[in-house]
Amino acid sequence: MRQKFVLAPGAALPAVERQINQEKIARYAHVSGDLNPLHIDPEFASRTPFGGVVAHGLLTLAYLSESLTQAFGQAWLAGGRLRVRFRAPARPGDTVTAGGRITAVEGAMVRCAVEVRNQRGEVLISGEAEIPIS
Amino acid sequence: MTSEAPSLDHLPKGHRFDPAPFRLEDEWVEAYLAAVEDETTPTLGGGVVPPLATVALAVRALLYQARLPAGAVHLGQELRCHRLLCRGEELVAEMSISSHTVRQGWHFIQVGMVIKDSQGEEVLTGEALIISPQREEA
Repeated sequence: MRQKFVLAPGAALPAVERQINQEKIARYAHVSGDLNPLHIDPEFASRTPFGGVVAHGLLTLAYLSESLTQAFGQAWLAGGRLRVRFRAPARPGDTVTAGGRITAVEGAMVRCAVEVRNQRGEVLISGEAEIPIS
Repeated sequence: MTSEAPSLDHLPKGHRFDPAPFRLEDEWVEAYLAAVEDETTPTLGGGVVPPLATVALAVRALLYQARLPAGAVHLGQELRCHRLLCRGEELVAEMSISSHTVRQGWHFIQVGMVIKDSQGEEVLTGEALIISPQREEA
């Protein structure tokens, strides 16, 4: 459900918390068609620098998109901009939290710092979002 | 994904993929929303579709023209929504390699994406940065 919050610098975006597991990663792989073995083959993934299976970046980023949808509704979906870096992967067993904070309200534009962190507080995704408001 | 398609890390800067048509099928959108556990977007009504669903479906269409190298990782993503997208819409993804460099044993590949509607209007644009380990050529 959408939450109401104050449109002012410093206001926190609604937090979206999700648990990552192999079943969810496999489900996303199936729906997205991204069957990269790094996501679905533990044996292959164990031989990569990641040392094991990691979640798709776009899966983790979808949680951030939902936080923006909770905050801004159609304004995000119809005119938002998002720019992020994937800093570290989400892994099976992780609990990730997506959210952020409003950094500026400039005329009809809201700017936010956005991020996704894991249960250890490590930043997995960070970036900026801009949402036009009317 | 097809085994005949070239690997993304073999494509040079400037490569343009064939326009890839796709449709925001109701069944696929439902499967996507379930996969990402999005319980918020459906509450908005009107069959609206999250932008990352559209990106995912566009990438899926792209995967018929290029394979993601094993071990490829998504390093960055930009996207801009130009208008609301809804279930049932017919779209076309136009993608190209906007940059491709090799540094310290890794390919850095930027893929530009322009998604247009059936009237040819841009509805979503963006760019993805993908890295993959450099491999020994066969």
